[in-house]
Formats: sequence, structure tokens, C-alpha cells
Amino acid sequence: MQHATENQTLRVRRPDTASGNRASFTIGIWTTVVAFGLAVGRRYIDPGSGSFAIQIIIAAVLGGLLTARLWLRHMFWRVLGFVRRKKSEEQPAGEEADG
Amino acid sequence: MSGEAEGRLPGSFRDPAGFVFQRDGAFYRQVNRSYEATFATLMNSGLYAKLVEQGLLIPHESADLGLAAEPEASAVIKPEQLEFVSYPFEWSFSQLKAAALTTLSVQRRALEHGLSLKDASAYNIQLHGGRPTLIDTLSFEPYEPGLPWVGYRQFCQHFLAPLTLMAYRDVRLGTLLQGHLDGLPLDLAAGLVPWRTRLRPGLLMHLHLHSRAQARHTDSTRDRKSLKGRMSRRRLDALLESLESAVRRLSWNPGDTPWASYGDQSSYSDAGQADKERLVAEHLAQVDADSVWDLGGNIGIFSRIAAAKDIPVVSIDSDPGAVDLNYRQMAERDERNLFPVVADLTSPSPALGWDNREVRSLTERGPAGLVMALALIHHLAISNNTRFEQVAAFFRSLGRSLLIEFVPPDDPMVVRLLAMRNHTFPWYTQSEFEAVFAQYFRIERTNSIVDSERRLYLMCSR
Repeated sequence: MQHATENQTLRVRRPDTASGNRASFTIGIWTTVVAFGLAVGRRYIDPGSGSFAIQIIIAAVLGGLLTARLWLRHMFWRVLGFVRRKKSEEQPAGEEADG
Repeated sequence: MSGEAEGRLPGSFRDPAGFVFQRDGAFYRQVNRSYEATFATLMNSGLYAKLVEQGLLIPHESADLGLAAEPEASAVIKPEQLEFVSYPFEWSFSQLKAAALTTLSVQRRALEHGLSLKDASAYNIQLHGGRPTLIDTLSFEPYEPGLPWVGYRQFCQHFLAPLTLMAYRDVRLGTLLQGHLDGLPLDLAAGLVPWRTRLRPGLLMHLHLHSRAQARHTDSTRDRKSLKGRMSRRRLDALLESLESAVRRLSWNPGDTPWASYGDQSSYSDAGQADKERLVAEHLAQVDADSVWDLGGNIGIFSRIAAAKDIPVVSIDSDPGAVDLNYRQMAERDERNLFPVVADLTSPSPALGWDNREVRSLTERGPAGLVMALALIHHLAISNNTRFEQVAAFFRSLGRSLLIEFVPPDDPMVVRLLAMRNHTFPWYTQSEFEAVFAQYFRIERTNSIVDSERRLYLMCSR
């Protein structure tokens, strides 16, 4: 079960390599959260080690979300730039027609 | 901060980096040789200057190494002296929240300078200069990139768990911290908060999943160092941001609670209230106290009269709503001399911790120059069945002089209190009050309050 958690974490770590599939990325985050809840074992050892483990997973999820947010923002501006370029290419043509 | 013996403070024993000791009535901190390099980084990296400038860390000056209390010293520092030490279980919601945010601010700045907080204990935060301030100068360790934050567990237990309980269940649960000096066990807090807290991502992660992870973790052989490389700086920043956001979103409003009416002004006409305030100011000028404890201080109306005279005032009330309003006002107005404390005078905060000497009882943190007990005696005598002898002896132990208001038996508030009791209080009279208190104090001055049968007495201890 520990491996399952690690794999999920890896997926979260590189959202852009998950080939832009945002749906699977979101599912990945929640699977991580749920998987961790199920994966942790049964024995009580030391609250310290559990705190380190969950901290790493939470930080990975949050870091992944941050990356995703930046990536989405980047994509938004790229698409917007593309649309604007396209509009500005179309507009001069229109002006010529008017003239 | 009196009443301590010379030498190392009994509560200062956990940190191998150094400890606090007392000499000639002043508090010093010894820096041990094992901590020399980290201390130099703190001082030379610019972090110390930045934190002090922003009011986040207590300033200190270097002291003579010859003052060191024990061998192994590499330096001795003399921090600015605290006017009063209060403990997290005596803080209102807003006080604990502000202390949490201070801790996170310190950690963020420390990381910018290559250091990290090695603990996140609420006991390391005290009001100084009107602000929650880190008082443990040796709380830092070198930041090792790739490692998780060692203070995470403590932060959640000392701050996030009690704040969530106070915000979502009952603000009085802050006193649970009294039985848990290393913060609330997360499973205890997670079991007590409402289910809907799971819908808040910050609380779901840092409280609920964290609690689960603590209770069931199997990875027993791995220590923190073995986790190196698992926590990038960016992720650590994201974690701190998430903790800060979770804390900031927690709120509690005293207006939402049964303790909605504060100030007790209803007992006085406008003229009476103004007269009482004027008389308190006059008495304060007469006694020239270096510190004041305002017992039953409510939202701090009379505390502020003393604080405005540049006297540090500990404003004590058992009502966490009143104390919260008191703290919010001082935070908004940047008032420096107030120390709001939630404590029940009929059962003051006890001594706690190892050998009952880590955390001092409320009474051990006195005596004050002046004790103010305004509109309080009837609550102690009638509601709590405390005899005048007990009250006088208690006040005598708390301060060198006393400004007390006597509320006569025919006062509407006393009549109301008496109506709720099924036995009589024949001894609750002004003459008996004066006779008993005169055994413990010398009555210096007495005044009646305009439009009222109540009287103010200024007394000095015999």
C-alpha cells in the first residue's frame, strides 16, 4: 500500500507530464488523499513519524496543485494570446474590405 | 516575573542549545557551545535584525560570559524583560490565533535566511510591546533542503487543533490545553470537532488526515533525516501557506455567544460611570504602582486607565468572550501595556508540568504593585460563598496595594445574586467588609461613586 501512495505522489509531482489530462490529475490528488488514509497501517508507533509522512504527502499534493495552477494560468494566457493574434490578423483584413 | 530563585528556571530544561536563568532579579539566556554556530547564523544572516524590526522576535543584548549559570556556555544574552508571562490555556481565541500567525511568519522569514524553526510551541510566544512575540531566541536550526518541517506536528497540536475546537465547537475548549502541555492530541481534537470541518481542505489535511497518520503509521524505522529529498522548498512553502490559510479562515465572534453584553455599565448612570473612571485614575496616581492586576477586568475599560499611565496591566477575566474583545481592541489600537488573561479567580491557573514547576500558577506570577477588584467582591462572596477573610487574604497575596469596590447588599446586582441563593449572607455588610479588610490592609482612602451606593477603597498591605 505504501507503494501505491508513492506512485500517486509521483503523478501529482509532475502534472504537466500527465499529458495535460486535468481530470486524471484531480482524481490523482484525491486518490492520494484517500489512498493514504487506507494505506497507513495499524500499529501505533510514534506520532512524530506519522506527522512527517503525512506532511510530505500533503506538501506534495499542495505543490502539485500549485504547479497545476501555474500551468493552467500559463495555458490561459497562451490561448488568450492565440485568440488575440487571430483576431488582430482578421481585423486588418476587415478594414481592407471596408476601405 | 518575581518569586523565582536564582539560577536556571525549572521550566527551561528541554533544549540542549541553552536555557533561561535568573541572576540579580534579571532573566538571561545561556547559549551553549553546541549551538554556537547556529546562533552566529541567526545573528549574522540578517534574520535576527529582520525579526526584531518586525516585532516578531524579542530583542536582546549581549551579556558578560562570566554571568553564565553553567559550564558549556558560549554566550550569554539578556533579552528585553517580559512584563508578564501568560500561557496558551489562558489566551482567548484571537490571542491564540495571533500567536499561530506569528509562529508561521517567523518560520517563513527563517527559511529565507537559511534557518528553520525547530519547534512551534505556543509557550514560546508571549505578548511583548503589545504584540505576540517569539521569546525563545534559540528556537532555530539550520534549514536542510529536502527535509520536512520538524515543527509541523507541534504547530498543529498547539495551534490548529485548539483553534478549530474553539471556532467550531466551543470557545471554552481552549482550556483543554491546560491538561496537554504539548498541545492537543490530534485524535482528541479530530474526534470532538463537527464532521463538517472535513469539508475544509486545510482542516481535512492538517487535522483529520494528520491525526489518522499519527495513530496508524507503520513506518517506524524511518527517522526524519532518512526523508531527505522528499520535501522541496517549494512544497514546504506551499505547506506553510496552507497552514496559514487554514488558521486565517478560523474565526470566532464573541457577539455570537451568550456572553454578548459586556462592560457592566448598566450598574451605573453615565455620570456614575464617568465618576468611577475619574476616581480610579486618581487612586492610580496616588499609589504609583509599577504593575496592576485588574481582576474581573471584563473588556478592560479600567485596565486601560492604568495602561494609559504606562503601567503594565494584567487584565484577568473568566469570560473568554470579554477577554477576546479586550485583546482585539488592544491589537487594533496597538496598545502596548495590556496583558489580557482568561482565568477563573475562584480556581486560578495551577502550576503544571514536570515537578509542577514548568508552568507557574497564576498566583506565583505575582505579586502586582496594585490589585484592582472593581465590581467583583459580590461575585466572589455571594456567588462563590467566599468569606471576606478569604478574599482579603487572597488579594493580599496578589498585590501590595488594593483598589476595591464594595457593592452594598441593597445594590440591584447583589439583590439578584442573593435571590438565586437559598441561604442568607448576614455578614455581607459594609461595616463587616471594612472591619475584615482592615486586618489585612491599611485603608488609605475611600470615596462613594456618584449616583450609586457603591464605594471605592484604596488600601495598602499591612
